[in-house]
Amino acid sequence: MIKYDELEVGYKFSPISYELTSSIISKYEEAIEAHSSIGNSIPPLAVAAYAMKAISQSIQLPPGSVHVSQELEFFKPVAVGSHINCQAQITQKTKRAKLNMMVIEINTFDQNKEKVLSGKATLILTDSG
Amino acid sequence: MTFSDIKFSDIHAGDALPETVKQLSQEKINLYAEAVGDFNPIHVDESFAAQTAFGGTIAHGMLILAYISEMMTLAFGESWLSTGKLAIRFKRPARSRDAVTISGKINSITIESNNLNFSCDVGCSNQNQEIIVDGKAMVRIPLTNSKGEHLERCHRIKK
Repeated sequence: MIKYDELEVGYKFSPISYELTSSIISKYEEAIEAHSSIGNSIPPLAVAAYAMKAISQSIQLPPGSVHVSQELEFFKPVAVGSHINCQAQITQKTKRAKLNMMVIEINTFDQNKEKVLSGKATLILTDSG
Repeated sequence: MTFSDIKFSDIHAGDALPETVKQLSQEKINLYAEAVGDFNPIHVDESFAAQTAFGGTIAHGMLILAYISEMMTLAFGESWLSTGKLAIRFKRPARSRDAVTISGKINSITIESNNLNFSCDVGCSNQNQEIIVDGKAMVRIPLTNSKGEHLERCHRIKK
């Protein structure tokens, strides 16, 4: 697990893969109180949420980190059971007083190597000391 | 849930998107944390969160965005899943007892390359009408189907 202080702009996370199984998506839909399922498609934010989970498991962030902005773009519906591959990179890292800001860009692809979602998350992290 | 068709000619700039209210609770935040595996203490550890500038636990930003995405899916159906764009800023945290209103309106409708492009203002506010999130959402709906036939309606989901 890489520490926040060791991350540099341009750092590329190891490619991450995960499967969006029906049990994972059922739990997710219950948590977000989803009422808008379309056929076998999953809520698009689930792809991003599980990508962020996978990224967070490979870096050690200070406790209390918070999201300040988010951009997302969806390219195609994702079916339950899809295998997702995610590429992620640190594109900005700045420090002001005791606040650190980090931008992570992600691109996700399905099992057919077709892009399904891209995004940019900006996080504020308290000083890890 | 049922689907209904709506004529493109019946959709106008200024139309409101389907507003919803979600009552947050620590139990719901914990449920989301378990679902996505994000146990950041600012969300789930009340004693830790009480010592931070927020003074208590706050909901995951991605949970609030999921509510906005839900609204866009209700309004635009599958087109949101395949062409949606969202850009938002978190203005203040959603606290564990907040009643969050998710709302939006169509800002403009333009025609480009045989598509209708919808640009929407979206946001969330709490029970004190304080803005939690605001931003823009865009979605594109084709004016012809895969056979080249002209479309006059799009699907909208009715809860």
